[in-house]
Amino acid sequence: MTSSRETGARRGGSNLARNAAIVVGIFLVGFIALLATRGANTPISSRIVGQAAPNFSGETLDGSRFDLAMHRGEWVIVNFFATWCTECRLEDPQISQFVASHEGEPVKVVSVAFSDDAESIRTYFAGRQGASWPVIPSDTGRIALDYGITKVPESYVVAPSGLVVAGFFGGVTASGLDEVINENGGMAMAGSGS
Amino acid sequence: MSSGRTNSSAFSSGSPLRRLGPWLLLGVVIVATLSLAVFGTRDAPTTQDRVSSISRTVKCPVCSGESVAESNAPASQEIRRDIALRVQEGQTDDEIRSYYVARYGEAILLTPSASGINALVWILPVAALAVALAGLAIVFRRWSTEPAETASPEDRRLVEAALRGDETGSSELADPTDGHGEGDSR
Repeated sequence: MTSSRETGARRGGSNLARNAAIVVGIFLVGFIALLATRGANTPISSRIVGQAAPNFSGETLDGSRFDLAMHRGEWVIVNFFATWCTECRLEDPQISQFVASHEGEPVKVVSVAFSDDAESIRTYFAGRQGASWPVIPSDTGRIALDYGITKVPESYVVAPSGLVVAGFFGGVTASGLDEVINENGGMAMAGSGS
Repeated sequence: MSSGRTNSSAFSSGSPLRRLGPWLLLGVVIVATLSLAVFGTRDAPTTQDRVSSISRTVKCPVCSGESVAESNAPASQEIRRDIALRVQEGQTDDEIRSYYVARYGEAILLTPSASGINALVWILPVAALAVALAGLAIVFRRWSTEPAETASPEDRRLVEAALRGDETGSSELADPTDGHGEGDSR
């Protein structure tokens, strides 16, 4: 009788140790799984699409001031670029074409320099007879980071309501921009946000 | 005699003070050491210290597993510059990290936050350690209270046989001081 109780107690102790080891093992496996699935190498991109466009203002190349808040009710393409970025230079003709095709319409494009210096930008656009749209050459990074920029070129389409409806991670095309605007109500939406 | 027993009772071999004393001492030493390490003679962090410390916890958005403190990608340079500006403006470390989380999501942080599912990263190791320590404490306690040796059924049969022999008078010849039961035959 005593013997069986002692054997049972010993067995109970080893069971407890085994159960504790299993629980600790489960904890550790869960911990490793959590770390493994946190996605340290997951590409990071802006979360601004679907949110209200962060407001900004700045002095443009021609010395005037661009204030996003003043363009509520219009479609605005906020483009981030740098002169050291080849893809940004390649998208320039597409932006020029888009601006030309929407002259007189409630559509604006504004380019904001990212990690670049104002002098390089002035020199770059001077060689191209200037830009036909506002360019803010001296962002301190704040505007770009407000939009969650990771690398240039990146562009965001701001609807007349002030909401960011699409993001382009890479160069834009005139037809791609038109497509986004048309999918989101087109020119009929203009004036709705003012 | 009795007063000596009273004085030594607090430190007698079975007293709780004697058993727990070394553990209490160990606990005091650990707490004192950790307190010194955390709150000791450390100077207040400078602005640059804070910028570096925050930069080490923010991931470079275009790199693989690198912080903005280590990376020279344009985005990392802009974020470092922005962190310095925000520190100078008087924002707290949490406010600065929250700004980046709002723009890039939770993945922008190399050190997971202590909220939501990420809190498990902090809780799980502590919970595992607590369970392991509790398990060890219970097992050690059981082991220490169990007798070192127990009588086997064979031992019990031998004892019963010896007792039966005693009843029949065969032990009359046995010397009561003879622990081996060898009697006068020695």
